[in-house]
Amino acid sequence: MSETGQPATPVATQSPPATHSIPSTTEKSQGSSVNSQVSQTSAKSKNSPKSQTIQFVSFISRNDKPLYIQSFGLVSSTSSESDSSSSPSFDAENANKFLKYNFLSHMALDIFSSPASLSMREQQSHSAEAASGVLLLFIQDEIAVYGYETNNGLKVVVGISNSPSISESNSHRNIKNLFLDIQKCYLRTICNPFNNLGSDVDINENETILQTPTFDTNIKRIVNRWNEL
Amino acid sequence: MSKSSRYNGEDIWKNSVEKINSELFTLTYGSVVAQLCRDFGNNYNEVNNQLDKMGYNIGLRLIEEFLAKTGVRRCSTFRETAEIISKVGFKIFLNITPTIENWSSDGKSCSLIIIEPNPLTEFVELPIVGDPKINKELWYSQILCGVLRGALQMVQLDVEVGFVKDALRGDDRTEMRLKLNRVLKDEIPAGED
Repeated sequence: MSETGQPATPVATQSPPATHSIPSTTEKSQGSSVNSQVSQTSAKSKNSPKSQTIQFVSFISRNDKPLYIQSFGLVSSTSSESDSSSSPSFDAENANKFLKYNFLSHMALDIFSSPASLSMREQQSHSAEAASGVLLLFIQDEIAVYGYETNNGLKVVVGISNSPSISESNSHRNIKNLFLDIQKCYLRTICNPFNNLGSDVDINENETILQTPTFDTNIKRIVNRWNEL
Repeated sequence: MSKSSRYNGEDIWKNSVEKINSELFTLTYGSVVAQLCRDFGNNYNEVNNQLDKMGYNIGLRLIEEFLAKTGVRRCSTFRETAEIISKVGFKIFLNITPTIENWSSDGKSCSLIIIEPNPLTEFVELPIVGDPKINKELWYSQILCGVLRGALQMVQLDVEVGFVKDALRGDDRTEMRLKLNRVLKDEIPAGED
């Protein structure tokens, strides 16, 4: 279970359904970032100066077909008070969140193809911005949704829980790197020769090709690494 | 001797070897293996045999190129042979240097350990979910065994090469066992006396 969304202590499960505790301290001192990397066991949301956690990652094909979605930071019943049946409120909450992320991904599609964003992207490609290609699509429900379209038309959508202090260019570069890592991970999985593709299914539309546990763990690893930065 | 051959390998790789894109190579080999699996209906023992045969044919011709590029002279012991294989042979064709370990007491067999990343297996995951026995039967890089067998046969060494461990199967490393059966004397072709 990714640590980022998990409450630090059992007591915190009663906290409001924000998927993580946005700490009141948002100082981005370099010292504390070093500490947070060293102390792996401490709750990331408390010590990490960035306080931005990735909530979901989804892939959509060039024909707007959803290929994959993984969400992070779902609240789970803590192991210390584990009972065999997790309480129904947690399940409902997780289901709601998951549904919300699905909706956010679909909303992202509209923005991708809207004329406003197309012109925005053209603008960005003119200004030699390092973060060309990555768009902040919209902010909804405390989640900032970023989108990236690869040359092939594959769309990657990432939702990041909003942090009050986002410094523009720095976080843009980080997010761009995040998208590149995710794209590399996607490429590794696609290139597996044992994909058992039927010859009539276009690889860009194949819905099951990403549903492997290895892909899940790789994406999770990327997300965890980014969350720790 | 070992230092000079390592130097040779690196030098030759840098200077006189035509290179291709490693991803192209990896993907091509992957397609070959995947297609073989489909053609033989998941009979992985047969796939292994085919890969070995292909490797054998490659090895017969590869040795000429190897000797032409390196000008290595006849080795006096099998140990030398193994060292040349790993430090020069693998280096100039695949740009990897397997390590040699586990010499048997008679000096006739050893293990070649291929260090990750293995260029043949860069993106590969065996589809265990689809077909669990693939993990137990398929040796993905079997073509390398055939190459060694074919190449060494042309220099009058009859060897047996096979895989013992494979990182793709979940083992900790990729290990080939190389065993010298005998040194071939030049035989008079059958039919003549």
